[in-house]
Amino acid sequence: MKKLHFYYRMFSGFSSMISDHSFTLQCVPESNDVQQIEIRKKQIAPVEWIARGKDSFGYSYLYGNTKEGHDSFCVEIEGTALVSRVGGYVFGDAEGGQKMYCFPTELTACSPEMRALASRYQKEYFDQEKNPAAFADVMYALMHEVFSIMEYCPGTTDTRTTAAEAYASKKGVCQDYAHIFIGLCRALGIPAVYVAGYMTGEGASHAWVAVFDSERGRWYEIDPTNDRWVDDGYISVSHGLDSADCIMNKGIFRGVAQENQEITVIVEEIE
Amino acid sequence: MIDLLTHADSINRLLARYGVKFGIYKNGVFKEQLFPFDPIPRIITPDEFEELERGLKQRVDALNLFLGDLYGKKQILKDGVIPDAFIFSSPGYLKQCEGIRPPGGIYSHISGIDLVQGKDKTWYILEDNLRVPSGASYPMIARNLCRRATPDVFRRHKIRDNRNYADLLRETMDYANTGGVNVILTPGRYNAAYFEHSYLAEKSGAVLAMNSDLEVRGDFLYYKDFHGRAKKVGAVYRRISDDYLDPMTFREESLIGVPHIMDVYRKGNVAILNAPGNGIADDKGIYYFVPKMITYYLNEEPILKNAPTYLPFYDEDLEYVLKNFNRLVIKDVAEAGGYGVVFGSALTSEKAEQFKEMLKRERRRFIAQEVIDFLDIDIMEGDEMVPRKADLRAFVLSGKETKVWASGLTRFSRVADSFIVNSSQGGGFKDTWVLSR
Repeated sequence: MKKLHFYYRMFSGFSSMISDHSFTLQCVPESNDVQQIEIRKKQIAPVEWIARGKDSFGYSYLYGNTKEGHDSFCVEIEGTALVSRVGGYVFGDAEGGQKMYCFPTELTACSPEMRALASRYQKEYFDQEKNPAAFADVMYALMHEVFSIMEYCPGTTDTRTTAAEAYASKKGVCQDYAHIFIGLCRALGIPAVYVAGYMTGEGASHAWVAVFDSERGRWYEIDPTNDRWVDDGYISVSHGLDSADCIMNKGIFRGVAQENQEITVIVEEIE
Repeated sequence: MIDLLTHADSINRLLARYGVKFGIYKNGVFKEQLFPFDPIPRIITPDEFEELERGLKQRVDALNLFLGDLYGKKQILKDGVIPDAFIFSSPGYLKQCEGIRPPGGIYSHISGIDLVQGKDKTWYILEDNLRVPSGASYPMIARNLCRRATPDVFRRHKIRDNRNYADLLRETMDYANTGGVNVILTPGRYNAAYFEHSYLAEKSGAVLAMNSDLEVRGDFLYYKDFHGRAKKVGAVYRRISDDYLDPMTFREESLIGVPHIMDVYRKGNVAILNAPGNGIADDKGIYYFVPKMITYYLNEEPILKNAPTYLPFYDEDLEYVLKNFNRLVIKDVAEAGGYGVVFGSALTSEKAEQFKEMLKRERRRFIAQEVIDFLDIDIMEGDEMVPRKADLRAFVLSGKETKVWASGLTRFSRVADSFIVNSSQGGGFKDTWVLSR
């Protein structure tokens, strides 16, 4: 178990005035089976009105609108998290609820090269009649494979880059690592979920993957960007089929302006 | 009846004057064309209609139960009645609608069920349209004009009045309404069915609105009237597709949607007719499973038949389709409006081979059906009566009860022997008379 302090700040500067700005924010972590969250500060400005909703995966989000002209938009969230995720967890509908996580989406669909990699794993690990490999070992090996193939390179991909494109260029960021790993898992028939959140350290928001071990009936989280299992230094914010379900801040507005977004995330262990 | 025929020209002229048009996009250019009206009505006897009515209610009830199950507990998948692949890899399934239970538990409020009658007089379901089926306004207005032109015909024959469609629509909207005004949301005059949007709004007493008239504030949706006053909206009969409904949830580039409408809908604070996500139930691949749904949810035998359908997804069906390719019609599950329909017999042997290869590769993408020998019905071509293929779109409205409108849109092909009757492909329409006892 770890006690963490977290701080999230998103600042958007616009090159000229914008108006009628609709936004949806999904960056406030919530308490669940693995984390106890206490929010100390929540500041969003400028806003005319704001409301709370719940997405189809059960996570809360904030949405609102600012009609008046403005040239910046800032979100700050600060709080503490008590995290304990040892031994995996159960979520959703135990019987069959994980099936929707078995199918490729546009962002996670495998390229022929990825499918070839998945079928190699299928043969090497699962098709062995004598001692089939343990689930955790296969996941770890597959993650390490992705980690070794890819080079962490911010700026080479964007939010619309697919797993197949990132895999072909061998470059990307956490979102791409997660999409590729999800694509491979689903090709192997393993339910895989995209998880967005924060990890210990200083930087931007992070993304990783939860995989379902059907033998144990539990989900385990794995971080292909950092080549490791997820421990109590991670705070999750939302999950979905791919990154499109977990966008932390989304907005549309009137105006002709360049948006310059800065995101800061600081998570540190306390006590 | 002769009276009616002699008035055909004046009725078509009146239809043109009233702006009863159908817009189509061809090569990126918007063109409005008249929807040609044929004066010879399709006649449905009371007995025939009674059976259709029972069968259609049963089918739409089962489809509504299916949608509630699918976006909820998914029992039908757990019980293995429908393979998961047909749901989760279909573009009609919207994950954004998971867990939403719309007001009244109804997903398909206005269903347009397309049927054809075979030579043996058996009715077959061709497809279910559960998203935003259009077409009800055409027989409404045509009947109106015919009654005016030839009042005698309607005095002499016992024809069920079809001018109650707007009342049915209003009842349906009122039942789903969560408190507030009824709105018909149109993308505007460049939409194929704009005539219908305005006509239905006028007749049902709903407010005709474009997206700029609507605004979400906090937990509710509001309509801004002419004086800038905001009125709460309780039901939106939206005539735009799911994709464009809410740029914050679906396609971000949509300029015809209402930002955050899905957020208030998800809370149960406004009804959306028909419910977003219905595309999964009128997917051509899911069509195959509808008779199974009827048995599964209602524990009844299906009253109306599907056209015999094969899913290349299943090995034995694929084998059958490859063997009988020349006498089947193949449909792309993702297409609508008569696009993506291929008659096996119409292809050259080289093209047929290529198509078969595609069937083997993309087994989820196509369905194959036996070509039904339609009962031809007569239309007027100049002064001559000629037989043409026709279908019937029946409208089923679900509110407190499920009701079938005692009329429907009969569309026919103007080309001899063509099976494609869609108005977007240049077909015409007729009035549909349901006789009373």
